Amino acid sequence: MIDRIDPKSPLPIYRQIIDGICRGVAAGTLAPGDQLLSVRELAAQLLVNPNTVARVYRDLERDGLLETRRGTGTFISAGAEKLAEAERKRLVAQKLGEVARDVHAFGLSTESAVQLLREALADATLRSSGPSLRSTSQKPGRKQ
Amino acid sequence: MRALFLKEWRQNYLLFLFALIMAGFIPGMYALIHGTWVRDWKDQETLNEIVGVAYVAVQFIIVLFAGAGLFAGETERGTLPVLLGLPLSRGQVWLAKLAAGLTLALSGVAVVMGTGLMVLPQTTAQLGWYTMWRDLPLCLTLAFLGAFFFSAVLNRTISALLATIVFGLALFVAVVFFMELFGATLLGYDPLVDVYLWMVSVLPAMLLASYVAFARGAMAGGRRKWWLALVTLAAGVFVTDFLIIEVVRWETRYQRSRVEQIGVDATTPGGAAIGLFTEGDLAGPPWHAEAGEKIRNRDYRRQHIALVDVQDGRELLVRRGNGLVAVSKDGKVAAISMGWPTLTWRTTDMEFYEMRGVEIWDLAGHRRLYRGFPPKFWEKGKLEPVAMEWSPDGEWLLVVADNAWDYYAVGSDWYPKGTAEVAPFHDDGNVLLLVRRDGSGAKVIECHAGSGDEKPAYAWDLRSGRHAVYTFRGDGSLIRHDLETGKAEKVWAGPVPAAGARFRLQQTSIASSPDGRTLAVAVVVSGYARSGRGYDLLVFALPTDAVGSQPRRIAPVAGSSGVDGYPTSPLRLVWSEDGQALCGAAVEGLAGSDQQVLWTMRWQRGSLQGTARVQRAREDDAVHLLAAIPHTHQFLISTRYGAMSLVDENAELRDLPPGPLGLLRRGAELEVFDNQGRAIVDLSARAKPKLAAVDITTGKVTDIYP
Amino acid sequence: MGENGYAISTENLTMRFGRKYALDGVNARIPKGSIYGLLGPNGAGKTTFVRVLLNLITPTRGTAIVLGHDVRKDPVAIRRRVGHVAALQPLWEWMTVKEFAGLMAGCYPRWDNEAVRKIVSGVGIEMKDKIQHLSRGQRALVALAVAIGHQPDLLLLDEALTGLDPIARREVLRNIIDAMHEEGRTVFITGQDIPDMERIIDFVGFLVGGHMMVEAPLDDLKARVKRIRVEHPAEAQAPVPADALNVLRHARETAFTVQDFSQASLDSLAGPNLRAEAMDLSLEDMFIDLAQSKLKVEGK
Repeated sequence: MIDRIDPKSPLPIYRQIIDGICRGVAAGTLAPGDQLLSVRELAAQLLVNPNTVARVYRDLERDGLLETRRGTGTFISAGAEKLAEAERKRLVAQKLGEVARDVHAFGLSTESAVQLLREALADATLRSSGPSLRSTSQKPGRKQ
Repeated sequence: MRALFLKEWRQNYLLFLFALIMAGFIPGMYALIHGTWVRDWKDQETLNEIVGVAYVAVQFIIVLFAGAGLFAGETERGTLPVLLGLPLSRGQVWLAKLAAGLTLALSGVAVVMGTGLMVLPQTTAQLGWYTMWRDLPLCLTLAFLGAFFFSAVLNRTISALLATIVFGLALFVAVVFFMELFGATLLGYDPLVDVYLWMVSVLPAMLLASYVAFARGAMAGGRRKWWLALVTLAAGVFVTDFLIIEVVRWETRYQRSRVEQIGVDATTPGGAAIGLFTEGDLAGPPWHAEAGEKIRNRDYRRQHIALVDVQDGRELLVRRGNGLVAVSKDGKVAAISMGWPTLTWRTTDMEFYEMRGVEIWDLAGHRRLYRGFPPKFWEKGKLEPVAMEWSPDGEWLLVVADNAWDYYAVGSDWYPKGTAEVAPFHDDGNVLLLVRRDGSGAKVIECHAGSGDEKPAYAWDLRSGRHAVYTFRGDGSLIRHDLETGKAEKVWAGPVPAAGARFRLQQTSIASSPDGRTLAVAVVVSGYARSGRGYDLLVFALPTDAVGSQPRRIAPVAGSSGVDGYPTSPLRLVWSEDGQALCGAAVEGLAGSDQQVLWTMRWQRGSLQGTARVQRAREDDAVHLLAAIPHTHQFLISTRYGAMSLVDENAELRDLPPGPLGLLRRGAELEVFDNQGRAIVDLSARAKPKLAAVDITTGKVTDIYP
Repeated sequence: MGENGYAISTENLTMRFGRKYALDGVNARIPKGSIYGLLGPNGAGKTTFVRVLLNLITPTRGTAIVLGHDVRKDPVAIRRRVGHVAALQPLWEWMTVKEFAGLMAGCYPRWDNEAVRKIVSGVGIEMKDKIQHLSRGQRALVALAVAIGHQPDLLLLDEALTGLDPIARREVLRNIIDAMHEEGRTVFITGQDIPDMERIIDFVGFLVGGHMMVEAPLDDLKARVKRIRVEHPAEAQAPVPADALNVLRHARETAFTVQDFSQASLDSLAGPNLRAEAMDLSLEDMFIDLAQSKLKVEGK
C-alpha cells in the first residue's frame, strides 16, 4: 500500500507511486484482483496531482499490471503475478546496481562484496518473521 | 450588487444603533439635567442651546462615520482584493457603497432629528428655520461626501475623518475669505455672492473625484490615487463653478421683455436724451431677512441699467447694476456707479454690504474706458455716490459721495484719512471726488454741504475752457478748483458777517449760466443778522471774469434783519436754456409758518433786468423746482400733491392740465428733457413699465420704450 | 474570443509601479485542466501577476488572456468564472461564515452551498461560526471553500499555503485536489512552499524579480535539470558547461547543476579518469540554484 510519498526525495512522484505499487505486488500485499483506490481518492490521500496518479494507472495498465473495469474501478490484473517475478528481479537488480557502484567506487574486491551480500541475506532471513504472503509454490528459504 | 449593498449596511449597522441610542439618550440626558439643574428661564435657555448643539454634533458624527469607513475601511482590513475580485465593475462597487453610506447617514440623521423634533422641539427650534432646513442639510451633505471622498483617497478611516474635518473648515474659511476679497469683482459679473452656491459647487466634483479615485486608482499605488483624485476634484470644481456662473449669468441676463420698473434718472445731454431704467424688484439687501420673510436673492441680481436713446428706443448700453448714471452733455460718455453686494464679518455674524464701483463707457464706440473701485476696496469704508455729473466736454467726472468724508482726505487722491493733510472745517462738510474719463487724475476737493440730506453745491466752470469746479468752503468762501493744475483760488470771500455775530453757513446752491459768465449763488447763513439771530437767504450773481470782486446781491431777502425764520427746503437755482432767465425756489419759514417762495430773474447781456417773486401760502404744500423747459423762459415746478405748474420769468404761475401729466411720477425724476423740449417720463404707474415722451404744454404722449 | 487550450496566457506582460518593474515582459502559458504553480521569492511579482489577471490593476504593457477574455476588455466576465483567494486570505471579521458565503452567493451566477459546508466542516467549522473566532488555518479554508463554491473554471490561489499550520496546509491541498475532479478546471497557485506545491503541480513557473525565468511541465523540468557529480584526479579540471549553475569544486570532485540534461551529454563527460553521475534534484533545490544564479547576474 502506498500511503505516503516523500516530496523531498529527488525521485519523481510518478516514479515513487509506480515503485510503491510494484513493490506491493512484488511483496504480495497487492494481489491480483485487489482493487486500488480511484485516481481521485489516491491523489487525495497522497496529496498529489491527480493527473500524476492517472498517468501511473494508465502506464501500469499499458504494461499489464493493472486493469480498469469501466464503472467499477482499477484492479491488479491477473497477469500481475507473471510480471511480479520480473518486477522483483528488476527492483533487486536496481538496488544491487547502486551497491555495485559503491563497491567499485570504494575499491572493494568482488569477493568482499559477495561476502557482504551473503551476510546481509542471512541477516534478512533471520529478521523476517513468518512466511511471505506470496501465494506461490516457492518455498521460503535462502536458497537462490 | 444588492448583496454587496446589504453587506455594507450590515457592516455598519453599529452606526445606526448609535443613532438610535442617541435618539433616546439625548432626551434622557435633557430630562435629567432639566430636573436637577435648571432653576430659571436662563438656565432653560442655556440647556436648550446646549442640547440643540448636541443634536447638530451627533448628526455630524453619524454622517462622518457613515462616509469615512466605506473605502478606507476595506483598505485597512486588506479586504480590498476580495471586494474588487468580485464579478462587479468598480462602478457597481462604488455605487453600492455610496448607496449604503447615504441611506445609513440619512436614516441615522432622520432618526435623531425626528425624535428631536418630536420630543424636544424647543431645542431644535432655537436653531432657526434656515439653519435647520438649509444650512444643516448642506453642511451634512458636504460632510458626508467629504468623508466619502477622503475614504476613497486615503488608507485609513481615522485619516479620512480628520481630513474631512480639516477640509470642511478650510473650505468654509476659503469661501468666505474668497468672497469677501473678490466677491464684488468675480469675473466681472455681478457677484454670485452666495456662500451656499459655492459650497454646493464642490459636491458634484467630490462625488466624481471619489469615483475616479476608486475606479482608476484603487490598488494602483498611493501617488496615482492622489493625483487622480485631486485633478478630478480641481477639474470638477472648475467646471461646476463655470457652469454655475454661466447659468446665473444666463438666468439674470437682461431681457427687454422682463423689464419691471423704469426710472428716468440720467441728466440731459445735448442731442438725444437718454433715460435709464432697471428691471426686477429693487429689493434691499435680502440677506437680512426678518423672521419669516423670504429671502429675495434672485430679484436683486436681475437689476440692470440700460441707457436708451429716447428718439428711437435703441439700447445704447446695458450693464448689470443698480446705481447712478451720468451721461455727458454731448452724449458721448456715460458713467455708471454700480453696487455689488459683498460679504464681511461683523462681530460673529456675516453680513452683506454694498460696495460700489464706477464704470465709464464710450457710448459711440461701445467701449469701456475705465472701471474702478475705491482703492483698498477691502476696507469697510465704501464709496456711496449720491450724484454724478460730467464736465461739459465729458472729460472729467464729478462724484458726490455721501460718506466719503470719513474716508477720503482733502487734497489727496482717493485714499483714506491719515494719508494726507486734512483741511479743517466743521463736521458737516462733504467732499467731491473727481476723475478723468480714463480713470486718471483722481482728486478730492472740499465742498460744503448743509446738514441732513442736503446735497453739496458745486458748479462747473463753463466759461474759461479749463476744467474747474466752484464749491463753497465751510467758512462761506467760494473757491474755484482748477482740476488741471490742482490750484484752489478764492473767488469770493463770502457773505460778510456782522461784527460780533456768530456766523454759520448752512445751505448753499450754485448754478452757472449756460454761457458761464455768471454764477448764481444762494447761501443760507445763520447769525448774520445784526440781532444775532435769524437766517438769511442771499442770492448773488458773480461775474466770473472778475475774481475777488464783490457779487451783486440780487435777491430780496425774506426774513432778513432779524426775522425768526429759516429755510426748510433745499435751495434750488435753475437757469433757462438761453441763460436769460433764472429761477430759484425755497421755503421760507416766517414766524412758524412755511412759505413756498419762487423768484425769477430776467438776465440779459450779463446784467440783471428785473426780478419777480411769487409766494404760495398753502401750508402743507411743497414746491419743487424741477427743470427749465427748453426753448422757453419757463420753468417746471411740482407741488406736493402732484400738481404741475409752469412759472415764467415774470413769476407768473400757470397750472398745467392734469391729463397725461397726472400719470407722471412725482418728484425729481422729471428733469430729463429731450432736444425737442419733451419731458422723458416713466409711465409705470399705469401697469406695465413704459418710457414715454410728453410734450409739457400740449400733453401729447409718445411711447419710447420698451 | 478564441479559446486555445490555455486557461491563462500572457504576452510581454509588464507592470510598473513608479520606477520599479513588478512584472517585466512575462510570457506565461497555463494549460487548461492543469495545476500550475508560480514559484518565486518575496517581491518577485507573484501577487502582482494574480492581480493583473483579475484586473485589480491594469498592466502597463502587454496582454493577458484569461479563459478566453482579455483582462483589459472583459474583466467582469473573467471574475465571474474565476475563484480568487488573495494572499493572507483577508476576510471581514464581523461576518459569520454563512454571511460571507451569502455575499458571494449573491454575486456569482452559480453557487453550491453544500460544497462549501463540506469543505469547512473538514476543519471543524460550522456555517454559523464567526470569522473572527476562527484560527488562521480555518480562515484559509473558508476563503478556499467560498472560492470553490461558485464552481469556477479557474482557481487563482495567491500564496495558498503560506503561513498555514501543517493540518491546514494538508486540508488546502486535499480540497484543491478534490476540486480537480471537475473536467477542465484549472488551478493556479503561487507560493514559496515548494515541497508541498511540488506534490500537486504539473506545471511550474519560476518568477524572480518580475522575470519568468523558467516555465515548463514539472516532469520536463525534472528530466532536464539535474545535478552532475564528477570525480576526477586532483590536478585535472572537470569540464563544466558554460551555463552550469551552482558549481562547487573540491580537490577531486566537482558538482554542478545543468539545465539541459541528456544521457548523451553525461556520457560525453565521462573519460579515462573521470567518473560522472547524474542525480535528480528536488524542485526546491532546482529553484534555489536558478534564483541564486539570477541574483548573482544582477549583482554584477
